[in-house]
Amino acid sequence: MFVYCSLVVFVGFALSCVASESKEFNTFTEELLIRPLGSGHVYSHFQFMTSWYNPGIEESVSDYKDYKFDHYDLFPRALGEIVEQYHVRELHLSLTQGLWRHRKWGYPVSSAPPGAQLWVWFSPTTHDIDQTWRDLVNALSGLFCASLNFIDSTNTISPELSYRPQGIAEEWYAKNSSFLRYAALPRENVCTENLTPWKKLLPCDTKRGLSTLLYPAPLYSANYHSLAIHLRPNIKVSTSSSPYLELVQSLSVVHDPTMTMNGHLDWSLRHLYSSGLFSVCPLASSSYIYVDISGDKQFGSFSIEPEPDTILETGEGHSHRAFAVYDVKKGVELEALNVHARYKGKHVYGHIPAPTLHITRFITGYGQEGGSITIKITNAGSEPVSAVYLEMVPWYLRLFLHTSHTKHQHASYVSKLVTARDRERGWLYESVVEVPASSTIEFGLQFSRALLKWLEYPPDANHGFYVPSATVSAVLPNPRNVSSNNLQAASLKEKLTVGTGPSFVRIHTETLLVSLPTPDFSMPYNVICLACTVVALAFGPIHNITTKRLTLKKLGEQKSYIEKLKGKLSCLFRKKDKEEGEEGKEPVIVEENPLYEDREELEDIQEEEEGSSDEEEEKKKDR
Amino acid sequence: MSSTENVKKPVGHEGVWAACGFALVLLVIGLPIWWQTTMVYRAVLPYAYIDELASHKARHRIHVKLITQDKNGINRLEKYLKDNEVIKYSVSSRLPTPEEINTSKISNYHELDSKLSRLLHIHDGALGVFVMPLTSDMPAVLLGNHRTVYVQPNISMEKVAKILESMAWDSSITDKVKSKLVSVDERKKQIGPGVRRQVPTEPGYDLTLTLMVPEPHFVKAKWEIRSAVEEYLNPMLDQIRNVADITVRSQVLYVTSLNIAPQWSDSHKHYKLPEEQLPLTINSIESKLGSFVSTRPSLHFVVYIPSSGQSPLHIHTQKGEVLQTNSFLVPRWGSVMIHNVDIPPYNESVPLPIEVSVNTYDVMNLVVSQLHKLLPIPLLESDKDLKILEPVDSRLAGWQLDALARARVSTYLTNTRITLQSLCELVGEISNMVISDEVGGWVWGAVEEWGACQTAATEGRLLEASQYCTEAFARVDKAFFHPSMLALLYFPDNQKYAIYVPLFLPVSIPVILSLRTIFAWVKAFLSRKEKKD
Repeated sequence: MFVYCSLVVFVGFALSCVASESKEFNTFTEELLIRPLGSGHVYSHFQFMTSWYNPGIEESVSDYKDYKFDHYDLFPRALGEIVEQYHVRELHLSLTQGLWRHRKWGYPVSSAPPGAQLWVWFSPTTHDIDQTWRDLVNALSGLFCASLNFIDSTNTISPELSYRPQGIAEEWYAKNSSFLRYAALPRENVCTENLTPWKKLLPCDTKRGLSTLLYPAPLYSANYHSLAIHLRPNIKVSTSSSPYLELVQSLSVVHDPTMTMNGHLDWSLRHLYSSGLFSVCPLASSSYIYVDISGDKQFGSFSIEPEPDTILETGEGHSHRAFAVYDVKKGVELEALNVHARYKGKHVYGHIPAPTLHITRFITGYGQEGGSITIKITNAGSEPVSAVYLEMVPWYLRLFLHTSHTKHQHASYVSKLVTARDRERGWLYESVVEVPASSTIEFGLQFSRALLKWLEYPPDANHGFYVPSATVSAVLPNPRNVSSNNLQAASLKEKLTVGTGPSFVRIHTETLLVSLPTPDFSMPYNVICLACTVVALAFGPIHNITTKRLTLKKLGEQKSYIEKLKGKLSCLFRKKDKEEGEEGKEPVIVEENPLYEDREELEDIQEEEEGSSDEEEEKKKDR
Repeated sequence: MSSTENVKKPVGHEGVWAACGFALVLLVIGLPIWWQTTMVYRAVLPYAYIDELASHKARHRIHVKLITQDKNGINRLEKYLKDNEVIKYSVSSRLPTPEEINTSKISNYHELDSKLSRLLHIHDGALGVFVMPLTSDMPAVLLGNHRTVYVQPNISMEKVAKILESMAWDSSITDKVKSKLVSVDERKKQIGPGVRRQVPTEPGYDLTLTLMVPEPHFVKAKWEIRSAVEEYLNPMLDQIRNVADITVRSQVLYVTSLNIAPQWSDSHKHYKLPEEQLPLTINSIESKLGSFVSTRPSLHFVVYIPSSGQSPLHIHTQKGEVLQTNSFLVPRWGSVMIHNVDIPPYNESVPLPIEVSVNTYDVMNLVVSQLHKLLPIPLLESDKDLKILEPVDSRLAGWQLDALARARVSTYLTNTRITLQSLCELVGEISNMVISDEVGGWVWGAVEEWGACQTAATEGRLLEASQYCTEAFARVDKAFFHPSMLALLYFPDNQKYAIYVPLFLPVSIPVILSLRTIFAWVKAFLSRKEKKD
């Protein structure tokens, strides 16, 4: 029914006719895309790509074996060792702060959900993928100083359709989702500590080239910030050469220059990154900056300085794109390169036409018992679009699928459903929905909230629990608002050259915050103390009643209270002096009272007297 | 005390029985349940066996096979071969066979060595002394590539014994074994530099060869590392694989320089790097050398191409001499080699970067020799009487392998003993420590292998001893560093009191006080019985 699934994967090469080249190659390229957005923001996307070919890699890729790296050149050894040890074939990691607002900003070059996301395709030789995955996330959390070690079986899934291999893969492998592990940590905060190890993987570090722009302060004050690493086996599009390994390190930032520029959209490298570009990485075979001028290639509304080296214009209609290209290698020979855009007037905030497909997701319902996740998918285009919706819900939200409801009738089927098991695994809900032309569909997943054990609550439990972003993967009929629709493209230039025809997009929705019923955490201790006190209070009288008997006694002559005490004390002292002999317990003088109810009272008097006499004794000792 | 009697009387039989009941429930049921539920699980460890094994000192037995026509040879050799604290020799002697005599006439040393050692068949861990039947123009003592020493009949057995002793055991290792026993302050004085630079004894190592090119825009370095490793390093590493598993990787670090400040020396026409600066040089690259995967000790060999502003660069010793090897060894870490390349003065016509190739032969020779020092592999110096046969493509001789294995077995034995003893001590001192069955199993396994290793070593089965010891060490290491050992270590005592006091104090005080009544009653009962009697 849904044939397009195979479009997600491209199996466009013949493994058999690979002519093995004995040569080894290592190349590094660095590119930067700057795109002013209609909302008054500026989107920049850095891409650092390391490609590595040697006969060993070719063999590993085509025979689906583990990579064997011995001698590293440009490829980072720290990552290479992890890839090698943990049988990784393809690895995609993103660390993101903020949400990509695709409704206003269009579709990015590479989409990432807020927080951390990791998905890995393991090689089929892996013996125990679950264990390998656990070890891998620990190694990666060490490498990137991220809390990826919180990934366990409860937040790991293997979706069927949404995350197919991005690199070359034959159909039998690409369709076997048991080699895939996907996990997301929506609560992960991204900061300098993640950027520094990421920069260390670059061959020029941050000493030369485009990476010198990456100062943490301007990056982390931006509206959106996403670090990513994509490792995949790839093949050159143009030539039918051998497969090679491609490591793409990318960094996307969305700045808001209108905030600081008094309403102007003027931007420059120095303004955005607090530094111009002074050097080029000597190891980079190419180093380019592209400024998107698709909307205004005549520079009607703004001008850029210095003059671009070339203007790159491709496609027409929806696929039309125009870029001002700077060759950094030429540009920085004489002086620092500071690309600068000046606008004629203040930025006018207007209605931004929505992209073809956009999604919102939110929590509905009230109270602490149940709720519902509601998803609204809007198709603004003129053709129906079918989309794969992937939802990963933690086990403590118990979904009810029989009540999952839809507002309007539409074609949909659940392609994969994994039910949760408490404390072992989460929900995986993957469905294919068809969104008719220019309409919005709405559906909901009802859930009830589970009670957690008191140790399972995270610190600051009243903050709530995050539900990771849902992923919507769809093939749009045309490349409107799409940054890249060439999945096999390696360099940013190839990616930005958008072809006409269907375009694959992946959209990550908002993360959700659900509050679970939260107990008072001092309660267990209080309960222990209270229960013990109650038991102790009950035990004392019971013990007394059962072991002692009240007897009637004749009253002697009335003594004053003080005299009684004196008598008792002297009695006690006499006992002390003797050290042995009979027990010196002063008889309890009880008034005749046949009533049973008063017994306890009498006992209390007895105890009190005993207690007070002890006190008195101590006082005397002190004296 | 008439009033006392007044009270005692009313406490009848029921009251006493009830008090007894409370006491019984508390002591017989309550106490054991409390004990059981709060007990820290501790698997049984073989303390006695560990003590026994630790007190027993294993010595390596080395079988020395003497092939000579002189019947008194054995007595003379035995007289000079002295047992020491780690080695015990046992000498056996036999006459050469006619075939061996024939073979010994070959004049090519390599051929002689390979053919004769095949005939003699000296097994692992043993040594052979072949006294040549006829005097020839051979050197007085010829040390073969296997495990045999060829000596002229007229040589004194004292010298032979000395050579055998240095073949069997590198004296610097004795210090190492000893050093584990002395306190820290004494250690610094006692250990020689040889011991301090050796890498810690572990089953495997990661060897990383790093080429540093600080200025890739001037210099484009080419190094044929793949073939160099295959040619120079792999033959040797394959040989010692049974003893120490070393994996080799290489990487190139660009735009990173060593943290040095060399001075121009007019007299030498080069930049000089004084020896005092060396300890700080590697700090700047440490962050790029670590591994996120392996926990094995790593060995780093860094080849540094100096930047154009510091080239040519040479290391000067403290006396001011130029260091010939231009490299330095960092103890327990690896070494740094400075590799100067010719960079012509800046010229418009010369296209940058300049391609230079790294001389892998020089680099690998240094790597191999420094690896020998780090592991350590014993080396003997040739002199006028002693000739050491040149090894074939950087391979190690049989006796060198044996000595390395022997040294490692000794260190493993010491390390295993120390780890086991400190584990026992720790467990004895800290009552909160959990000993899971897993940890217990490893300890039992380690002790078993340890015992087997000691037996094998004393019987001279070196290969088996090496395997047992590696296994013992690996297991005891796993047990010692198991995370479950620390699980309850930080459970504070005051929390225990906070939980127990509200329950136990009010409940146990009346019960304990009532014991007094019970005793009094029992006493009274007994005295009444006596009276009756």
